[in-house]
Amino acid sequence: MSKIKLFIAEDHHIVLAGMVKLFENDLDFEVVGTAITCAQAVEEIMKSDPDVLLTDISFPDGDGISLIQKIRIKKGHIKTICLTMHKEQGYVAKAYEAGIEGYLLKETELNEIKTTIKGVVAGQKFYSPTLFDFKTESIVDGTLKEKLTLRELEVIKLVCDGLTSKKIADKLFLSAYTIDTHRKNIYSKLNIDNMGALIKMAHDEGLIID
Amino acid sequence: MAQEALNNIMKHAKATTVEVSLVANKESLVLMIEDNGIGFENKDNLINSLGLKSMRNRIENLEGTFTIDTMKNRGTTIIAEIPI
Repeated sequence: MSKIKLFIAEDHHIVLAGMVKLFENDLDFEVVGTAITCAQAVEEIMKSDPDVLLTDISFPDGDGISLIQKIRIKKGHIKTICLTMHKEQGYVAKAYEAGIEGYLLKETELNEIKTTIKGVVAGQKFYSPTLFDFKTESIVDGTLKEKLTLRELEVIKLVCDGLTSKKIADKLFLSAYTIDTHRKNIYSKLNIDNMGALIKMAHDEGLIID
Repeated sequence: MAQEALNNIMKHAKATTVEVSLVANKESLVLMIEDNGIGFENKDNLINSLGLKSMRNRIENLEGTFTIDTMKNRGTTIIAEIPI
């Protein structure tokens, strides 16, 4: 496989120098150009024609996402990755909407950055898992159904179908202990203490999912 | 502990969904972390890995139980139960 041609845009000289160094002796990559401003990046990318642009977001003369949008118009085949400190959803959403293939945080380990670059070249998209919005559900408020996890609702359905813990475990590829723990948690959340009450409540409250 | 488990899932599990629940029963506090990732073939090797060993030790120091339920390509469920 030929080396992946990489262009790095980063406004801090010392960080840029460090990044170039990190790819220097790697047989899979070749840094074909660098820039410390957006304007310089546009100019240099036209000359160096990289496979991948790895760019920061904050520059004194613009932002990395707008830079990528400009590059895409002129050189649509170049894959793009933001490497930034910005975790804010606004930036992430803007990057995603702009079709940017990768979004990594600067805390990402080097190996993961390299894997992402290779993945992006292979046609994948990659956004740091730490950027995802976590859906948190309070069991204090909300409807009965909202108090339960999807797995718990699945277990309730199978209990209502008449399956034992062992059979539910086999069906869900889990151990009977895990299913018993789910049952115990379901009882606690619904404030009940037996299977008859569970089946009645499941029917009355519409807890049975398809 | 949940944070450590979630870090491991993000790094290694290739999961698309993780459910975390913390429930206080009459006698115990149960933390369940369940992912739909790649799972593990050999549970014994897994439980002896450094990170999980330290999680298990912490739970056992609280006289609790630490269980891992996993199967290759069928996700992983970690259950930590501490008596209250």
